[in-house]
Amino acid sequence: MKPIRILTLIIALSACVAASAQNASDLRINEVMVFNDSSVVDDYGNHVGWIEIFNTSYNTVNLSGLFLTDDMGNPTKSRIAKSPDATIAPRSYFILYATGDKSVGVHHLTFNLKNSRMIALFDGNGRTIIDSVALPAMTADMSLSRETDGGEVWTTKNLPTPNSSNWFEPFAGEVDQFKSLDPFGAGMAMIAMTIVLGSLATLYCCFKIVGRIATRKKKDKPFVAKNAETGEEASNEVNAAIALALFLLSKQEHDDEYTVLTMHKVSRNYSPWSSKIYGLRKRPGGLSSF
Amino acid sequence: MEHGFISFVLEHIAQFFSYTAFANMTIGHLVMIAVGLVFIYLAIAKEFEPMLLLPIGFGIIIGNIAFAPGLKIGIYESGSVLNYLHFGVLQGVYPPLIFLGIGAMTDFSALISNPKLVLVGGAAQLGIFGAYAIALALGFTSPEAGAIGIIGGADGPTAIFLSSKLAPDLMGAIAISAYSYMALVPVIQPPIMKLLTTEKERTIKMKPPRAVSKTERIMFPIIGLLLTCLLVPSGLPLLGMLFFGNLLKESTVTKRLADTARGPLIDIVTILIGLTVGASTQATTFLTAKSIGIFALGAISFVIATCGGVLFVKFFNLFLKEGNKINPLIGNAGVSAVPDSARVSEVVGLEFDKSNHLLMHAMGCNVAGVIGSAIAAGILLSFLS
Repeated sequence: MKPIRILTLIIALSACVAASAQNASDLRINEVMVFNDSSVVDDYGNHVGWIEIFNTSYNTVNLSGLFLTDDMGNPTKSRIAKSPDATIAPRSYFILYATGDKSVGVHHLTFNLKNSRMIALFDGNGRTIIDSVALPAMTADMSLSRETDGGEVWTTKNLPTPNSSNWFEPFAGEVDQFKSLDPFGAGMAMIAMTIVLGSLATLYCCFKIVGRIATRKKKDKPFVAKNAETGEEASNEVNAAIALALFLLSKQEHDDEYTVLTMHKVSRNYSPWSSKIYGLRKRPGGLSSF
Repeated sequence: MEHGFISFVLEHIAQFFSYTAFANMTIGHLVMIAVGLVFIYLAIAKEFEPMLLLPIGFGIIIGNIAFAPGLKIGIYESGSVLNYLHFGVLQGVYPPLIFLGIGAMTDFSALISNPKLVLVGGAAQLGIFGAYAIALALGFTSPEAGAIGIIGGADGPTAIFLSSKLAPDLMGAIAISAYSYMALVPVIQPPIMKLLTTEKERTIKMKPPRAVSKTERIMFPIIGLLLTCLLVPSGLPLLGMLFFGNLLKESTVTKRLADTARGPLIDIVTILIGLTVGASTQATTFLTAKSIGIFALGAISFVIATCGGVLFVKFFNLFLKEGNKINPLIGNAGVSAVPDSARVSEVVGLEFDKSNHLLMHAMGCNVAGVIGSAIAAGILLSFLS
């Protein structure tokens, strides 16, 4: 009998653990934004009001079949669809977008928050209330949130924290400090322009030196014409003739040229009519005697 | 039975209608489709940046065909094909690839032969920080202001790269604004250039650029990378790819790689970036007061950038000997709208002296502007991300 009792006890304990894993009573409405102008966007890129649910337990909780409403007279106003995605990991968050559209998926509610006075989360039976909160008047991008995740004290704040902890150190980040110390951007302009011009000036100095070396090398080495095929240096007479031609060219006193250098794009449009395949024909052997 | 069948048919026709764009269309979608059509018209009829405006314009139309959500169609719906293509924009993959192609097609000889032009490219970046300051004053956050300011750099890939890092929500508006004003460079810049220069200054003739040796051209990308990225490592994705592409070209031993970078690769990425940036302008996210503010700031940043470049050349000329002076009409080319702003310098220069060709000199400033705006983007990224 003893082993059977132990086994029964184990099964009963496992069932308790499994039940608590799905215990919706551990869920809390954690943060609400009614007017979303620049906060998170939903799966379709829209800025809509949202509700953050927080799982206070250390077990995964399934939200499928729970109800959210903004009307206590209608507790089953919006049902969270059954889906493998409708779960919250331990101590994690789940965002529901109040799009007001019936057919948009597990993260979307069938009502929007613009005229809502309260929000309530109901169990799957549609009667047991899990959590609720009254909504005060809020401006755009302001959220109503618990001071700490799942805590008792509610507050409104201008820095919403969707999908993350409601509590954070009241510490201004480097970027915020930048704006508070340099509200008009003059400091940024000075620093950044100095760096841009400084780095480009370094490039300028470097290539000024490189250019001087390159031009000096050319000056040190006199131009001597060479035969392209044999590599032999040209005679003094040939060099003198080339120099004279270049001089006349620079004075615009040269002969008329038939070749014209141009910057215009030479367009050669392909056409089967101009193709060599069609232009060059094999000489028919049978007709060679004619 | 018959009644049941008819109601079944009618019900499904009604259901089908609810899935069509007509049932989901809003005024905003229609406005955006009209904007897309204007872009396509400008690209085809006016030839304003057609390589960019055509894909963007068509992308705007694609992005604003309204649909019933949940079918994995839209660019913001995870799992949709457009969403996968948009990944390259959101994660800043496409801009460095475009810079690789730009590097492989750019000839830096004009800059190497007259290195002082590089400073003009730096001065024109003033537009970025002018717009940044105004955006801050208008209430944008610092990262948003930085992302908006980069429009003044007049470089589409850089604008997309920086906004994807600093303000992803505003990326569509910033990209559209940057490309729109780049297309309008021939309209925006000439009046400012004429206003800020005298008759005498406009006819300054500059020395023709000297011939640049192959060694110098090979050294440029290596030294350029080391000098700029050692100072601003956050510019590495853009500058690294730009200089790498240029080395592929100038080394002459990797012709096939250079040809791919400046040909098929840049073409493919341009198609993807244009189409997805256009499609990301869904009316529901795009038509906001912020977008209008971004457009206004974009215009201001272009004006400041042009003024910065032209006035810097005038100031620089005070220290240069007669014969070495720079024509201030090339100052506008410091914004990196390659090669449109250089073409503007050439056209305006020829208006005042038919024999004064400024194109090659302006191209020097132009490519310096590309480097300058990439450095500026790196600085903004390191301060504001």
